[in-house]
Amino acid sequence: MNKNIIFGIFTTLLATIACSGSSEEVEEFQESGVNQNTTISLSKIDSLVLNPHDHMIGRLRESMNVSPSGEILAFVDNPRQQIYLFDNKGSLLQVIGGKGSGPAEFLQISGYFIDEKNRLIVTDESQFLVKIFDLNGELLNTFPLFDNQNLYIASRDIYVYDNILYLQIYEADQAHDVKNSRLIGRYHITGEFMDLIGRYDPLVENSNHYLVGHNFTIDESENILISGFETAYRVQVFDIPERDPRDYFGRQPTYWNVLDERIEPGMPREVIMSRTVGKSYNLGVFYTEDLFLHHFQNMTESWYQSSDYGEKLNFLSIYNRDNLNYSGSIEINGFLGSVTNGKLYIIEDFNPDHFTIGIYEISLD
Amino acid sequence: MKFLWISFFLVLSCTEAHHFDERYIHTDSQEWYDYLSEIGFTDLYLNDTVLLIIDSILCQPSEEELKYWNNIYNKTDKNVYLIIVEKHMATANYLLTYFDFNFPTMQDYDVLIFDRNLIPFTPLKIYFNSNSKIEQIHTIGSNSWRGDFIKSQ
Repeated sequence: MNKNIIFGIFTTLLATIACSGSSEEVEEFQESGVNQNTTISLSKIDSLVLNPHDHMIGRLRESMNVSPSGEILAFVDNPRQQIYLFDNKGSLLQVIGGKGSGPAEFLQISGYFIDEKNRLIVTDESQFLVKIFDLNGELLNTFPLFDNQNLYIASRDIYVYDNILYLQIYEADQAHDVKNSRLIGRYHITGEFMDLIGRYDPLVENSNHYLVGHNFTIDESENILISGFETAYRVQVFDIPERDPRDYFGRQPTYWNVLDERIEPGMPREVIMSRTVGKSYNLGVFYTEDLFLHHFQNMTESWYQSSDYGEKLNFLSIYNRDNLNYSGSIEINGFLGSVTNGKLYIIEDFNPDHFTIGIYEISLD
Repeated sequence: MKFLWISFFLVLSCTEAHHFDERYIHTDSQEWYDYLSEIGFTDLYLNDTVLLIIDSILCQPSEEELKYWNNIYNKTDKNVYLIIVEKHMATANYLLTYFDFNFPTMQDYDVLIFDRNLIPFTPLKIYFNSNSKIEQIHTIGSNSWRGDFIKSQ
């Protein structure tokens, strides 16, 4: 064996050892098979119109959170930086926060979540603070994020259960190679940093968009974290105790239009609009007992002109949990804000005078 | 390298327009008068006037600039008008109340401004000179340019 061959084997071995820490954790993408002859049924089981009583609602953000019991619904008012809590009949219960840097105020609400102990947990992306309230609006605790970690908040999704806060982060050390960044930071609800889990979708490297956000949720019974990159239809599933990827799957949905031209911040707005009209964005990943659900939107010219969320087109892709097969995609009549206890909460009308949420069940035949 | 923007649409609302198509600059004043009349500005004269055209998603720099113009309106004799392109009355009323704006305002419920092809997007400010001709168009929220805009009057 000559020296060149020995050197080649040695360097390959070194490279393998050096890379093994990350490569072991990156699952290969598996294109989902297709369930043939499947009919997707979305059945409306309830509807509610928000009643703010004398409180003036201006514009609620295109998001919502439903408490684990399904009894409380939370929304954010962006200009006021307030969180509104409604009961499940639509009646306003509480208004929490306000714009400012005071103890119970926010400069920029990013994530908000009601946990199983009926606490409202809010992340403020401007102040890098987490504020925890009871549902009467009393501030219980505040703690800073990223004190000793080289991390940033990277999306608006947060999740809290078993006294642990999950939020999508971005490791500053990986700024030049974002796909190597860990995905989720975990904090104990007392403020103690725990660890990092998951990995960015490798597609982030080749994305045509400057955004690096992922949407995610957690199936507590299975102890898995389900994630989707904002400009991808693929879904990653991570085993939380092992902190490793379990599945990485998906199939381009019928209505999904790939963003094929580059979007950068600072581009003229007309250019951004022309490049994104008709294109698809992932808005959330959800689950029921039997299904994984992937909510995405297609941008429209009328949305850009009117700023009316109702002008965007909403779709849902459905995968069977048992075999990860794709069962199809359907258009839905609003923004899928939450899937809680198997019920889909779809915001059907954003008009503050009759802000309407339809509650649905989904099934496959 | 990727940037840490977590809200695409808030960023979008504050992006700069580097160039406006000439057709917007050369739109005949009568087309503007027709539009303004249709949304309720029946007694408005465009000479030496600033039109602020917004939607209801405002980024922080846009909010700050609107406060600036409201101040100009209150403390000078400048003609400043606000148009809110917004379907829902409650949302438009809320914006005016929340920001305590008091310049003359009309709501474009039906997004007519885009049907008439008068502007490419919101939020924008347009300055009509003493001959009621468009002299400048620029994005609201671009603070560095604000001084030039007012100076040009």
